[in-house]
Amino acid sequence: MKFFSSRLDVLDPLLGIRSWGLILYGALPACLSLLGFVEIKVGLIGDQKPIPIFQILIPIVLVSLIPLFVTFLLVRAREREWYLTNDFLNLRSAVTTFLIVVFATAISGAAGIIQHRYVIDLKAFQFWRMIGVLAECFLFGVASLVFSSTLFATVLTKGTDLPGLPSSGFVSVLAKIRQQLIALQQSPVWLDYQCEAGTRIFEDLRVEGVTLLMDFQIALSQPGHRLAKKSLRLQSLESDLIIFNQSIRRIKDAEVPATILFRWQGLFADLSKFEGDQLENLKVERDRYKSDYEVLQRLRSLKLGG
Amino acid sequence: MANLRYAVIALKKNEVDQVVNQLAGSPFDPVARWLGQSKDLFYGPGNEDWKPFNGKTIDALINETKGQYSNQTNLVNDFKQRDRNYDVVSPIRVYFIDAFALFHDKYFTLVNKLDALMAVQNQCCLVISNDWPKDIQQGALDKYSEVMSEVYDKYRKGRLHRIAMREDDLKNFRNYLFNTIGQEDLPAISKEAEIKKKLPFETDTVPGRDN
Repeated sequence: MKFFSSRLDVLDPLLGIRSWGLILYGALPACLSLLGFVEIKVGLIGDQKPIPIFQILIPIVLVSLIPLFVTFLLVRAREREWYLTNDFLNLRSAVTTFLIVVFATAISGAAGIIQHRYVIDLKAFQFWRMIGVLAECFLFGVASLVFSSTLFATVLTKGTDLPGLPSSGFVSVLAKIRQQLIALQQSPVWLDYQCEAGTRIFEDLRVEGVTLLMDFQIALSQPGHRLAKKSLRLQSLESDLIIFNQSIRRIKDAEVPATILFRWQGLFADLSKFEGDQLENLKVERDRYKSDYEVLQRLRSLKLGG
Repeated sequence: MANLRYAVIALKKNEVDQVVNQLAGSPFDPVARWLGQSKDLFYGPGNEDWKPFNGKTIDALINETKGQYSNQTNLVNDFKQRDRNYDVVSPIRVYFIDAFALFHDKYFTLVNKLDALMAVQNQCCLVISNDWPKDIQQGALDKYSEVMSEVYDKYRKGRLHRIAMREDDLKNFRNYLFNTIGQEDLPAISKEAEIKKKLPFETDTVPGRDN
């Protein structure tokens, strides 16, 4: 069970597992075919042998492209909010969109069987006819995305508390954390520091770091969606922020301007700009706090979409 | 209450061979040979990685209790780069000195320049381990009295300098300093910086000595 859980945590950012609730709401409109609201006939496909690929396939691709692309963009927009970073965003959005279409296709096929439009008979199996049926079901699945219910549209465009999806409270705190992290990444402390600037910048950063940690706790205290919350811990962001705060405090506590500058250089500066004894001392300093330096670089390189 | 600001004057591992070569064939030849054999036990990549006693780094020994001392060794390096600007090292209160560093040209010159200032304004703790052979101890002590003559003189006259021969000597000195001068209300560095901004000056005159 633990093995499965740890694999799930790793696969989540790749496959968008926490957003698979969207499949439920995305494929739901496909059930409309049971009620007979929509009917699609791709008769030509089944009747002709062999299938005229360029005459039929290209129009199918063209027709389905726009609904698929719009669905992909809507899914992508939601997944951007549900995950802290943009790592693998396109991959997981594509996977979720693909699964929505597969499920919608399967549902419309099942509805066709219930309505006796399709019959499962292995003895009378005809390959081209099956391709035609699949194309019909696929087109219906795509059409159902166009005919998205109000619920589906709401789910994809607004933050609402729906079963199987991260709560709106969690998403809003996550958005706040992301915003603060972007502000932190854009701080001038990563690029330059002069003794004359004093310690104000470090004091401000320390306050930002403490606020971030508090927001982090608020995000984790939100109800529901275990996987979404667990992934925050997995990214070790909490411990990274603690180390960030400690590093900033260590710099600020040096008191003496020259030492503040030295400690800042050890953790933030581009060492290629130094030479001789100064470079040697800074290398020793950086090696001494190597793990802290790596944490800072990790925070700086988070893909937050800012 | 500000932390006690200290600096470490000790060899780095990559500087040991230089000392060994320098001393080979001199009256300090036994020191050189012994040092060459023991360098891995005592030295690391940085000054603060020096391990004077029982494999513990000087930084770890001084900072056993957090929030009492503040490492300012980088100021000594700044001083080397900005020759004879005594303002740079003025925030340092305590120096922990590796006796073997005095055999290295770089540190020899450094402590020689700072000797008079250290003697009256700072507290120096020279480390000569009791575990070293007797002749090595004596060689190190001779070098100390030669290079840091002012500090050595003040030490004999009763000023607060120390020779630490065991780990507990070092800890005793560390705690004693913190319990005495560490309790003094020193002006905040930010206030000092404000004053210096209004009255900027750089000096190469050692306080207490006419150059």
